[in-house]
Amino acid sequence: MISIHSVTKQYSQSKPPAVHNLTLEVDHGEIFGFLGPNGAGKSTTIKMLVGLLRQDAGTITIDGHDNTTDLLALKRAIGYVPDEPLFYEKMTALRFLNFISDLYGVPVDRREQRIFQWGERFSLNEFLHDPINSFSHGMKQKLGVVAALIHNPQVLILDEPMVGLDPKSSFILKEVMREFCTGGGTVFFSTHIMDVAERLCDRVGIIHKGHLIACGTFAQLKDSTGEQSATLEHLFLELTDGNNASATTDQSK
Amino acid sequence: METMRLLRLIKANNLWAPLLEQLGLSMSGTTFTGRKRSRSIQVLAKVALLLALSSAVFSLETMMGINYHQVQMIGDMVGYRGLGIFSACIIGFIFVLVYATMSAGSTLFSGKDMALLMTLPVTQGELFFSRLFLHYKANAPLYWLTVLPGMVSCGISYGISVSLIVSSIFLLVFGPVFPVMLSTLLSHLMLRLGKGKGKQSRKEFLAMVLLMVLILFAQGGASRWMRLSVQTSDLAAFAQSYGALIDTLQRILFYFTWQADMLVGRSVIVAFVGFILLTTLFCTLIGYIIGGGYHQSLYLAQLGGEVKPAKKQYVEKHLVITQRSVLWTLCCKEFSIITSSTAFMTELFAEAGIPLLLIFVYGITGTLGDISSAVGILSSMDSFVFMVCGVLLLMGCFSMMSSTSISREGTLFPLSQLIPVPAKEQVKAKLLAHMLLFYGPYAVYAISCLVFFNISFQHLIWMLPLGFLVILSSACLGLAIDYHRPVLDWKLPQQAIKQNMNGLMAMGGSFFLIMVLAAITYILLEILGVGDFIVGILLGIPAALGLLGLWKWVNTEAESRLLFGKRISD
Repeated sequence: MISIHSVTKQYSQSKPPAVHNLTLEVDHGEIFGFLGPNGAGKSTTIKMLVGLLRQDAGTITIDGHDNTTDLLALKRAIGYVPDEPLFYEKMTALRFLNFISDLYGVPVDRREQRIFQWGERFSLNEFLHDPINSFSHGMKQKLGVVAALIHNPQVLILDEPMVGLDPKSSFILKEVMREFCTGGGTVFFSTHIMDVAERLCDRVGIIHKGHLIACGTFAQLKDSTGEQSATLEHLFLELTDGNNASATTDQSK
Repeated sequence: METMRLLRLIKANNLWAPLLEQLGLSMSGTTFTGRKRSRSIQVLAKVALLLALSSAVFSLETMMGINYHQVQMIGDMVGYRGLGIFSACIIGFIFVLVYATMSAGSTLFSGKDMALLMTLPVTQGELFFSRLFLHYKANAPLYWLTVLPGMVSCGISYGISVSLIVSSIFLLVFGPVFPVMLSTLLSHLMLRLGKGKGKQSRKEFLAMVLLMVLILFAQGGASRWMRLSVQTSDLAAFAQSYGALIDTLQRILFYFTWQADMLVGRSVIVAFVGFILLTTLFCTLIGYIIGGGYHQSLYLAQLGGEVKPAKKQYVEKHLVITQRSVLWTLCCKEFSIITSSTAFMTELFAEAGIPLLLIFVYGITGTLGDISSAVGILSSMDSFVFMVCGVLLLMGCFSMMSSTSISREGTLFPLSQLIPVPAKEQVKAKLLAHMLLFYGPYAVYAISCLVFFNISFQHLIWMLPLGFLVILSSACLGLAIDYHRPVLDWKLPQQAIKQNMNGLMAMGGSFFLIMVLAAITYILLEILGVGDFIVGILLGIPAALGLLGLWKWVNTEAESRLLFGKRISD
C-alpha cells in the first residue's frame, strides 16, 4: 500500500540529509508506527508521503500512485492529519468539513452521513456551527481527524495525532485507527508515545538521524536485540542512544 | 527600565532584514527558491530592482512635490510663508494616523508573539516601549514619504540652508511621534471601552471608517467654505478670500504652523520650543494613560482573542449541507481569507471601490467641476475614449488582490498543497475571485463613463473584452510573481499585503502592460490613422497574446509551488 524506496531528502548541501536512503513497505490493513527522536526525519518523511515535499532521490508510491507523477491521485487516496492542525479558523467546523468535501467531491448524501457519524464519534456534533477559532487544541485535532476521514481514504497518515487529546478522545482515535485497518485501510503514524506504539502498531519503524535503524514487529525487534523482556521504550532508547545504528530492519517486507 | 533588555525586545522583531529580503536586497546569495545565483546576476538584479523602486518612489514624490509647491506659491502670493510644508505636515499627520490606527491593535496589544512576550521576565514599560518603537518604525516611512516633497519645495522656494536641513531632519524624526502615539491611544481606548469584547479587526475597521468619514467631511467643508466667496479676478480679492481661511487654519492648527515655522518661519526658536513642548506633553500624557495599564490592556486583548461560540445549535441529522463546484469552493476560500483580516479587507475592497471614493471626494471638494471642464476640452480628441479606457484599466489593474494572494494564505498554504485539486484549477479560482472584485466594477465604471462623457455605446464592444483581457493578464502576472516568491512567514497581516513587494512589482508590470497598449494605440490612431473603433478591436490581439504568455507562466509557477513540493526554505 505504501512503498518508500531508497528515498533521500537533503535540505542543504552543508548539512547531512534529513532522510537518507529510506526503504520501507507498509501493507493493506496494517497500522505502522513511525518512531524516532526529535529531528530524526519523521516529519520530513511524512511530508514527502503527502506531497508537501519532494524527495531528492528514490520513489514513493501509495496505493500504486507515485508522488511525483501521479500526485493528485495519491492525494485523493490519503487522509492526512498534520502535527499542527491546519484550518481556516474563521470558518465554522461544518463549513470547513463542507469545504473539504467539496474539494474531494464527496456527494451530499454521503458527506452528510459521514459528518454526522464522525462528529458523533468524536463528540463534535454540538460544536459544528461554532467557528474553529473557538476550539481548543484537542477539538481542532479531532476536527482534523474527521476532515481526514470525510472522503473515505484508503490510507490514513497522522503526524503526532495523540498530542493534545484528552484520554477519551485518544482512546476513540486508537479505536478508529484499528477499525480503519480492519476495514482494509492502512494507517501510518508518527508518535513519541511508546506505550501507544507498542499496543497499537502491527509494525514499527525507528528512524534516527535520517536512517531507518529498525523496522518490524515488536517481537522481531526484541529478537534482533536479544532482549525478550524489554519494552519498546527500552528498545527505542537502546537503538537511538549513541551510534548504535546497526540495521535491524526487515527488508524482506 | 533596562536599556539592553529593551533593545533585545526590539531586535527580536528583526528590524530591517525582512524588508531587505522582500526587496531582494539582502546580502545572502540564496534566492527564495534556494538556488544559488552567480555574483554578477545578483548585482544586476539588485541594481535593476533598485532602479525600478527608485523611479516609482521618485515619480510619486514628484507628483506630491508639485502639489505642495502650488500651494506654497498660493501662500506666497497672499503673504503666507511655508503654506506648502504646512499642508504637507497636516497630510502626513492624517495619513500616519489613519494607517497607524489600523495596525496599532495588532502591534501593541494582540500580536501573535504577545502571548510569549507576556510570559517573559520583562517589565510592562520595556514591553510597551519596545512595541511602541516597532509601531513607530512601521509607520514613520509613510510620514517621510508624505512630508519630504514639501521640504524639497521649501528648499526650492526659499533656498537651501543649514537651518532648513537640520529642521527637516528633526521634523522627519519627531513628526510621526504624535500621530503614532495618538493611534495607540485610540486603539487603547477602543480596547478598554470594549472591555476586550468583540473582535480587534472590527474595532480597527471601525476606526478606519470613522477617520475616513472625518477626513472627507473636513475636506468637503473646507472646499465649500473656500468656494462661497472666492474670487480670482484680482490678487487683492484673492488674498482677501483665501487669507481669512489660511489665517483661521493656521490659528486652529497651530501645532502644524509651528512645524512649518521650524523650517521656513520667522520665529524658528519659538516654533521649535512650542513643537517640542507640545509633542512631549501629549506623548507623556498618552504614555501615562496607556503605559500604566499596559499589562491590563494586554490581558483584555488576550481575552478578546478567545472567541466564544455565539450560539449553540445541536446538530441532528438535518445538517445544512450543500455541494458546490471545486472552482466556486476555492473562490469562496479566497474571500474567506480576505475577510479573515481587516488589513486584507480594507486594502482589497478599498482598491475595488477607489473610483467611487474618488468621485465622492472630488464631488464634495468641487474638483469634479474642474475635471468636467478639462474633460470638455479633451473630449473633442479622437483618442479621448482610449484615455478613459486607459484610466479605468489602470484602476482595475493597480491592485494587490492577486499579487499577494498566496502570501495571504500564510502558514495555511500547505492546505492548498494538500488538496487533490490541480494547480490549474487553483489558479482559475484565484483569477475568478480577482475578476469578480475588479472586472465587475470595471464594467460598471466603463458604462458609467460612456454615459457621463456622452461617448457612443458601440465602444463597449471593444472596451469590455479589452478590459477583461488586460485585467485578467494583470491578475495572472501578480499571481505568477506571488507563486514564485510568496511571503508566507508573516506575523502581522500587513506584512503579507502592505509590506509585500510582490504587490508593487505586479503593479509595475501591469503599468508596463498598459503602456505597451497605449503605445500601440498611438501608432495605430495617430500615425497610421486607423479609425478609433477598429483600433479598439485590434488592441484585443496584443492583449490576448500577452494573456496567453502570462497564463502559461502562472500555471508553471503554480505547478512548481503546489504539486512538486517546492518550498521557500528548500
